[in-house]
Amino acid sequence: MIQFQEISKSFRYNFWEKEFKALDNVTFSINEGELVGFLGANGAGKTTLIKILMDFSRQDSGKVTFSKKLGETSNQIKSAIGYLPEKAYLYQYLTGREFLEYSGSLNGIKKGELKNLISIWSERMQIAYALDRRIHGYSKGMQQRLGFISSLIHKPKILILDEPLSGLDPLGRRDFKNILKELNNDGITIFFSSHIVPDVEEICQKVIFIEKGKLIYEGSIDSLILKNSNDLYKVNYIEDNKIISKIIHESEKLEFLSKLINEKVNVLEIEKEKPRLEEIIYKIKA
Amino acid sequence: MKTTLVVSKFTFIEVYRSKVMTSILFLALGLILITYIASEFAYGAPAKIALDFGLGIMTLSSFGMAIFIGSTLLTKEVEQRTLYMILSKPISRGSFLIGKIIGLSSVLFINAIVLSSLAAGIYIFLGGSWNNLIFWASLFSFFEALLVLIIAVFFSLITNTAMSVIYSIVILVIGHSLNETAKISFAKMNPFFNYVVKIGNVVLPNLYKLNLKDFVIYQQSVDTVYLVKVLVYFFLYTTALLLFVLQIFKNKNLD
Repeated sequence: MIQFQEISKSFRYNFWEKEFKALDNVTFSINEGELVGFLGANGAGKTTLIKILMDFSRQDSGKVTFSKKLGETSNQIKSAIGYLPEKAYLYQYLTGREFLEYSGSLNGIKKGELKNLISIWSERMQIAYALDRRIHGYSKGMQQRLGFISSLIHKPKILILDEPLSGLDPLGRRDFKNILKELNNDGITIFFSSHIVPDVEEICQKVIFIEKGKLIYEGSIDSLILKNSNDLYKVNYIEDNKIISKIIHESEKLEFLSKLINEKVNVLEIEKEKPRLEEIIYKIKA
Repeated sequence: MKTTLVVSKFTFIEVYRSKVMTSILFLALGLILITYIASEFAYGAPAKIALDFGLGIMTLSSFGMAIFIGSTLLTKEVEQRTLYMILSKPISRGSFLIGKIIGLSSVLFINAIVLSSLAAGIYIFLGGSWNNLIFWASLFSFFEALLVLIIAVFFSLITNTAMSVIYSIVILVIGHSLNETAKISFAKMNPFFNYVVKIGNVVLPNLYKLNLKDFVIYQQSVDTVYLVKVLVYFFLYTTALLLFVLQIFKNKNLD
């Protein structure tokens, strides 16, 4: 759906300062229907890459290619994309409803339909009660919800979200993650950046990990975890009214389980010992 | 075109509700007070003095607003990231910027209407008689402010806010004085200086031409041909500057 080919970008903040390479030959792709987590520490280059994707900033070299399914002209492609920047501070003197009308009108949604969509999404995002208030009275979480509605009100094919979960309370994070999963199940491709690994691990199938402007990993979370797993299994079973946990090697798994079954031991669970995505990321960074 | 109007509509609503409109109200009250005081000190021609002060305050406040709003127009949008949200929609950078300028110029227009009406009202109250030139002077003052707004936007695209304000004020001062500078004997005698002034007259906006206040106060009339020439000059210069600004904005990195 979107392909990044050898994207590089440098900044020089002052004439006498050394050039800072924000992105270094980054190549990866986002495929249709995927829910992709874009991981990286603060300053890793995530926002810079998203700005290049959205054509706010120009790369020094490399190319971003959009699939024909998104459209052929710039405006067709923009219509197929929903975008939410990090820490958006919306127009403070407009009401929430006016801001959504502004966004919807730019996307060419007709008045009646827009009114209906605003009503549906504001209820869904639990912000309907505040829609007629001016935005400067909104909390950060409320502004985030409003911004999120504005990014998806025109039914985009792909959502590009820059740190959508930052600044939300735990309930808000849960709601957002549930909605992202639902939207993805409805066929919307989602690409969202985050520096919080468990959030990405929880909802994404695929992860892109960059560090200091360089691509470290692109692929499925499951295969990354399996690649970094050892051959140990944890077996929980009941013996003498106690839950016993035992770590066994892959090679002795069958023999050990047969023994327990033959002795009619109550086996509670057997689980492959695997690291959390966060541990793997730390390991890669180290 | 439709998206440009959408941007201008919501820009106007946003500014209308901000403190800019309150400042117009305070300016109007200040204008009444100052023109009253000035007319009390004027011997023989209080109405003219009141009109002179009134139109002067209207022009200065329009410049102040144009420079302040123009210099912060895009930097504020980038800082607050609203620019990113809007430009991610199906709208070109050019349409967005024109929409913003139309929305903001409507605020300048309201300022010009409110303050010039008040100035004219006080002038008539103090015994002056209506002259159509008051309307033309106010309209040209609005055009002048609009041009200054675009100049401030231009500088905000190539430098920071503080420098943009300073450069805009410098252009404003030069734009008003260049015409008269060309007339001083030093400029006429010195070929190099004369050449520089001539180039300045072509490149920089000749704001002196847009200032009709002297015609209103002292001459009470103006040649129609002169008015048309100034109008044509204003439209050509503004269009050229706007196209240049749009080109810069189109290619600007919005980091």
